[in-house]
Amino acid sequence: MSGARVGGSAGYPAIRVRHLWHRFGSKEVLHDVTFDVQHGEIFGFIGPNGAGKTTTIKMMATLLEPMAGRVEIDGIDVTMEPEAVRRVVGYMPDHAGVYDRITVREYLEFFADAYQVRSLGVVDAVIELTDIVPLQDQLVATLSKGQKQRLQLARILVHDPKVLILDEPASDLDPRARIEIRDLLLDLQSLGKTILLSSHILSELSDVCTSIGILEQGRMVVAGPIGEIAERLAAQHDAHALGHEAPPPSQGYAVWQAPPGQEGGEQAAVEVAARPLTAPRSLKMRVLGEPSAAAFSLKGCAGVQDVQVVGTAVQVEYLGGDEAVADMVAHLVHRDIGVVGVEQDRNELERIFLQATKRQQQQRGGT
Amino acid sequence: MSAQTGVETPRGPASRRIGDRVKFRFDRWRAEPNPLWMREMRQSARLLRTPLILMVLTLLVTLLMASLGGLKAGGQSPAEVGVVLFHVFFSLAWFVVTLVGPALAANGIASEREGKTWEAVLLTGVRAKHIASGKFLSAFTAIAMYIVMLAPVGALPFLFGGVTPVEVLVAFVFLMLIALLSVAFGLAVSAKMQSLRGALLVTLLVAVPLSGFLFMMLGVGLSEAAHDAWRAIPRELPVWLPTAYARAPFGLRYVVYLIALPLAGITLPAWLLYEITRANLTSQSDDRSIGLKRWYLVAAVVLAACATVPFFDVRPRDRAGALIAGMCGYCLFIAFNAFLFAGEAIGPSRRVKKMLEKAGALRRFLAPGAGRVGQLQTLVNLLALVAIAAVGAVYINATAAPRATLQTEQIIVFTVYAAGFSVFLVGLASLLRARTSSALVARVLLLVMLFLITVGPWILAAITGSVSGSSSTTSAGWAVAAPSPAYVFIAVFEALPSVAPGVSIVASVGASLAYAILGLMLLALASHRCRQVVREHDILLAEADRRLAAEDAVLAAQQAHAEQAALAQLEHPAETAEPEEPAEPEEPAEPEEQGGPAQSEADRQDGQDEQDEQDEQDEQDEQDEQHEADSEPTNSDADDAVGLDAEDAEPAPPSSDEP
Repeated sequence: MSGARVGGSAGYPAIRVRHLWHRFGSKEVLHDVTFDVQHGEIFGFIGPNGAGKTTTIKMMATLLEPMAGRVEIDGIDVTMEPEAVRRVVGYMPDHAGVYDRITVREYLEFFADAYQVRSLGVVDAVIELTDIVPLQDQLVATLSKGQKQRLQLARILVHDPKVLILDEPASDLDPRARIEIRDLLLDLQSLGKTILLSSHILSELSDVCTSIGILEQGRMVVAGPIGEIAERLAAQHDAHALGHEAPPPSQGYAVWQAPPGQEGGEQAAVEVAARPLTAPRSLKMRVLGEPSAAAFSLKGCAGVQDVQVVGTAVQVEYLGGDEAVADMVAHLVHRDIGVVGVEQDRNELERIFLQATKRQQQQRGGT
Repeated sequence: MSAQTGVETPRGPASRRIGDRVKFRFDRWRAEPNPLWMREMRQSARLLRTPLILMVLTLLVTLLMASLGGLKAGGQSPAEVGVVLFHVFFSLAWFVVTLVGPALAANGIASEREGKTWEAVLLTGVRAKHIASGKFLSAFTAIAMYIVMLAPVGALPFLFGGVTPVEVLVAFVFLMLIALLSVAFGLAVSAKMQSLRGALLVTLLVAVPLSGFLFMMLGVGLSEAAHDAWRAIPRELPVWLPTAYARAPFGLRYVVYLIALPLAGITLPAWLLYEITRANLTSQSDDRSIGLKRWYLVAAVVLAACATVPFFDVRPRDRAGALIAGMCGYCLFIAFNAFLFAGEAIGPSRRVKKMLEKAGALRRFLAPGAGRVGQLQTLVNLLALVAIAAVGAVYINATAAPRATLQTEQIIVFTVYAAGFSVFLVGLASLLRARTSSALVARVLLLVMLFLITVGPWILAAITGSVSGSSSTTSAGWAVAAPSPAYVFIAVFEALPSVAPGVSIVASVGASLAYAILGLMLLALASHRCRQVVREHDILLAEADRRLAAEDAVLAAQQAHAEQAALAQLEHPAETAEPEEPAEPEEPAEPEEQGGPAQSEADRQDGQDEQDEQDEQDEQDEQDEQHEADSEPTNSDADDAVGLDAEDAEPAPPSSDEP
């Protein structure tokens, strides 16, 4: 029932968003959004600008009340008990401001007092954890963007929340600052924090997220662990290739939410099918000699779908697993073409995003 | 313990004595001051422009004072020069405080919103009242620094004489109290505005004319009345109040006019502005108006008492007029509150309802709701108007004042009209709020309608009056203007004293009765509309709750089933290993298999066997059924839906032989 606290119980999600609807004026910004984030996960909340990520996040952070649906953080209903939710959530907004004319330490001391943290050592601990010890006596105004982001992270850790909600934490940061933030997030995950990370930059998320949710035009397209979604999409690809509509159901976590108007009515949730990964994958090969010769040679190789010369490398799109890669290397070696290196295209997330949103775009194109 | 001060919080009061408790509170306040205040003080301390502005301002005021002193010193005695300098200094200080104070306070909350630090502060869980008090203290400290910097200049009149230390001290105390009001006003505007520029613009647009108007009204204007009351107070000098404190003889009039009324005149607006600030800082789904309602109840009593003050201090034959003047002032309060509560919520949110379950009767009576607050206002307004009128009528007749009957009739006719129109005004405001989507729309509509009601009948009366050829406003042709609230003054002060009041009184009383009936109807409609909206909202929420509860039931059953399966595996690893081969670990479980925790091991075994025999088509059919069940989950079919809700599905139980 609403307001019932079940947080901390085994298997209960850290974040539970259920049938969330919201609109601003006549514009519907969220349409029956449902997903879970399990304890200890880093959940990537992906979607283009204007998809409804920030609106959903603001509801989780108790800054906006949903028109319909329920959001529970650690088992606490954000609508019924916002004060209790604020104690377990640390929220870092997109482009958050800071107080410029105080030092880093004073800034954190203020938030420690505002959160009514009773221990004086908390500020020191947070400064150490976020690695801003050398900056602690500097004025906030003198910090770089990356340092300010670290300070923001330190701020949301002051009250030791269980759940961290970060809206575009690495936007506008230089590569070094991004790497630092990423490493910090991994550290926080190892401390048992559940992290929801919103971004529209997939490369930002690919290295840290264990689960993702893709939001597009206010609808949750897909949500769940990355591996399961990849398998699900692969199964779908197979089904389409064979002329079938949907793969058979099985128990699983990731969900696919069909757009409205699709067969079966609104929000048909289809479960993940555990299938062999047979969707096209790609890799880059660096070879000795002319890459075009290698490309020509690879076209005859089993499983190879497409070959292109990219600079001094050959980009191959193929079906199959590691055996297929081994076959390709053997094929080239057999034709006296030396293989210097094979680099797997690691950005699984981009592939997932493109495949997951492809259907939505087709729907829109069809209508 | 405060991280900002680094001081341990003192342990509880040594005893229950008031002295100990006050000491404890003071010590705790010192150890744990308002965090927002502390932070803003730290920020201000690093701002270089503040001392520069203070120095320049002090220099300018000093130069101005010296120049005026030099100019006046030629033809007047030193004491007269001292008095002039005293008034010049505190007049300047008035404008500094009433213009700089609101501007400083307007910066407080709007700048946090604009600087995108506001959300971070809100999420700390700091309560609205602490934010309001922290911001207030920050702005008040800043303006107090201006006053302290100017204080030595304010002591210049002592060099010339003509003013006493008590006068200067009282003037500074009042300057501080005016600063308090100014800061509270700026903060109230800031709490509503989203941008700093907007807050500053609105604040100064209101503060500049209001400051000048109040200076003339309360300063120069009231000095005439003060001179009439106490001859020792010079007329036409704006800073007369400190002189009155020093020179007026102590008595009842002193207590009422120099202590009680100024106290009410500062406390009530300051409290109102604080509650407006607090309401604007509180979430939409909280009970935002409770503080305003508390203020309203207290202010209604205090202002009703204040409305009778002039009545007792005029000549007996003018008592009706004085009481009606007091009631007019109270009617302005009624109109102000109609606009104030036009922003009331339609009804309480779920959170507030839950909170009200544990609240007392008065707290529940003051719960949010446009219809409910309309009823509250109607009740309080009628009681107050009747009480004021009763005091006047009884006193006039008891003291056998001249023309007692006429004065009593005047009071009664005015009270009836005021009561009828107040019911109408409140009813209209409540209905507009109940029918419109925003408070702003309701307020604008109310203003427009009020204007039309006040002016429209006079236009009509002017037309009919000219048609009938009558120039007397008490004639029948002008009775068309009776719906305008201004008409009551004609009925009371022109028609009643005349030989044949006739149609004017009938029209006035008829209009007031019509207003009362119409007002009650509007109030009933508003209450009905509010109840309807709340009921519809409750139905929707109940439906959503029911559906979510059904999903919860499914999830709970799945968890119980998974736990039971795991337990069974632990107890009988050999028996359970076989049906859950790793070859098909994620096949969907049959509905029959997931009948609940009480299901026997054998049943589950059978279910698994059946599942193995199903073909792909059967699985697809089952999935379709599952989606149908999911689309309309009910409590009754929750058991059937177990394991069928894809979103809440748990991973399959482990199939390993190992416990």
